[in-house]
Amino acid sequence: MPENQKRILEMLKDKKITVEEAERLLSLTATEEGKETPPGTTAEKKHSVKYLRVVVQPGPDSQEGHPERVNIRVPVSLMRAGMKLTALVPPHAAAKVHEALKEKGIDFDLRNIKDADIEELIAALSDLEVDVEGSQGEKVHVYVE
Amino acid sequence: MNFPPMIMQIQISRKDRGFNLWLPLFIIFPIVVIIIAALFLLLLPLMLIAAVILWRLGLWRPLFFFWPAVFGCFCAMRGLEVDIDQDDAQVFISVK
Repeated sequence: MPENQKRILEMLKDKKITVEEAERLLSLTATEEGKETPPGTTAEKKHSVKYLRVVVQPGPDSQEGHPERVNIRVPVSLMRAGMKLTALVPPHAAAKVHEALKEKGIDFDLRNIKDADIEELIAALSDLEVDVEGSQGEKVHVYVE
Repeated sequence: MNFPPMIMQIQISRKDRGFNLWLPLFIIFPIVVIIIAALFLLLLPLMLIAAVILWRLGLWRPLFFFWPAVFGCFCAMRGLEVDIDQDDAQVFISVK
């Protein structure tokens, strides 16, 4: 824990400041730290993402027989390992995939995926949060933790 | 690479019945590895011939790197959880 935050908590413990004041000071120190954080540290924080969580909750009007509740936790390491499997795709198959994607307007070549790209993609996941509400009130929430 | 998962829990419950299965992967895994290694050694001459033939097509790579990649995925499964709850049934799979 940074020194400033420790000091604030100690002041709160000694009742020198109120809870509201401590909260305000803590938020200020958090903002300052965010400014001071070097780019590498942010990347390290992003790498600390461990799981991708997909939660589907039924709405009040959900039809019978549909999945009522889904809760899936996928380790990011599994996604990383899965993406590395693309290296095993034979060149002619990768070329076909590339052509098919290009036809759909997506210029993405499996053969160009490098380890650094995978890491970058996974680091970018830390900002991911998808919240969808269906017509029958069902909710889909995708986030990382 | 992560350490391989130790236990897989499969829990299926319905209205009238259900079961809870704890698979000790730490026991099953070494047996599977020994079988795969034995198969690999047995099939190595054939694989080498196949690799030479398929070299130009670029298919030699999956021949040799498929199992290490599968092993990598298996090790990365630790922490996977799937929980599906329906009206009359519940499925829970967890890899620990």
